[in-house]
Amino acid sequence: MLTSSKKIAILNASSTINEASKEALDAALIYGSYEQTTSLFFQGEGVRQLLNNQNVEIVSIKDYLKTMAALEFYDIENIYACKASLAERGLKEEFHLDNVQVLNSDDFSKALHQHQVILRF
Amino acid sequence: MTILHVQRTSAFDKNDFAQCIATIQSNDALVLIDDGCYNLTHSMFNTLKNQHPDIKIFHIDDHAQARAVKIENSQSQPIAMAQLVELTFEYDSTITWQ
Amino acid sequence: MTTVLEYNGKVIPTDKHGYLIDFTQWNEEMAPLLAKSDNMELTEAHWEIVRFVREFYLTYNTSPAIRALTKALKTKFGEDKASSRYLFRLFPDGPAKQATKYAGLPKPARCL
Repeated sequence: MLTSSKKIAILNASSTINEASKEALDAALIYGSYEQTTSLFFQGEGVRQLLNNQNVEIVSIKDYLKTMAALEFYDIENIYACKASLAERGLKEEFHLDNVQVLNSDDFSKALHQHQVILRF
Repeated sequence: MTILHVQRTSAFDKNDFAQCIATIQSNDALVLIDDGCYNLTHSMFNTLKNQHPDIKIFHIDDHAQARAVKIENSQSQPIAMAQLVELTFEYDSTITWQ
Repeated sequence: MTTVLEYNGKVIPTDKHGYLIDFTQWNEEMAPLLAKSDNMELTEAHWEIVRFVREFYLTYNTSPAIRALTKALKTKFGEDKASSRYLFRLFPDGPAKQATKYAGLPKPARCL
């Protein structure tokens, strides 16, 4: 078990239908269960995980996006999305979570730099 | 807090390097390993140098030589794997871009 | 511990730990049968948690780990029932493990 109280960042860079995205969420929930301060960052293709109106069950994938709504019960309250990544992909800020903070590249980077452990998926 | 950015993929193939450049700050360092060595010949490498002229940049010498990537010493400093391990202790955290 | 659940003369498939394979086959009458295989009798206090865990799973598509379970319970039932001590008294083998079983849900993948 982790004994330190390091701040952990999960950096999500994979699109919705990708095993890595599910693993990223699992890692976040495990850290949350151990009362580690954990933040989620969505950059590049990762921002797609936040978009509403997705239905991955159509292609027989367990709907892990629904699980993201339970993050508050794991004390994961800081969820950041990269504004440039959304803009590059022509995506609107229409998310299935209501506490996503959209940051420009510099603020996104600064927020990430506040964490001692960064895991990229 | 400082980050050691370990870049493993080529920008000619994947987007990781673009995200790395968007994230990196002047006090961080960049290490090019595996196909990441090809980024030395990508135009984005110059973008990085322009944005952060004094940033520390390293590459794994063997990995660059294996790929016939020619590097001037002013661009990047050649290191061996053992030095990469040392670098991970010098920075607060590490991101592997792959 | 049995690995076969008989209900209304039909065999409901379970895994080797006695958890239902298909959570949609569950109904409330099965909960006491599932509990019986662990020599447990469900009181109203147990039922409260079993129903809550079922509801949590249907909403979030995951079984809550113990800490998340207590936090979620707090918002619904208040402080008293939201302690892990209270939950462990009800479910000595582990609240998340046992309550999910009687609620017809898969064994939590994350063991806490």
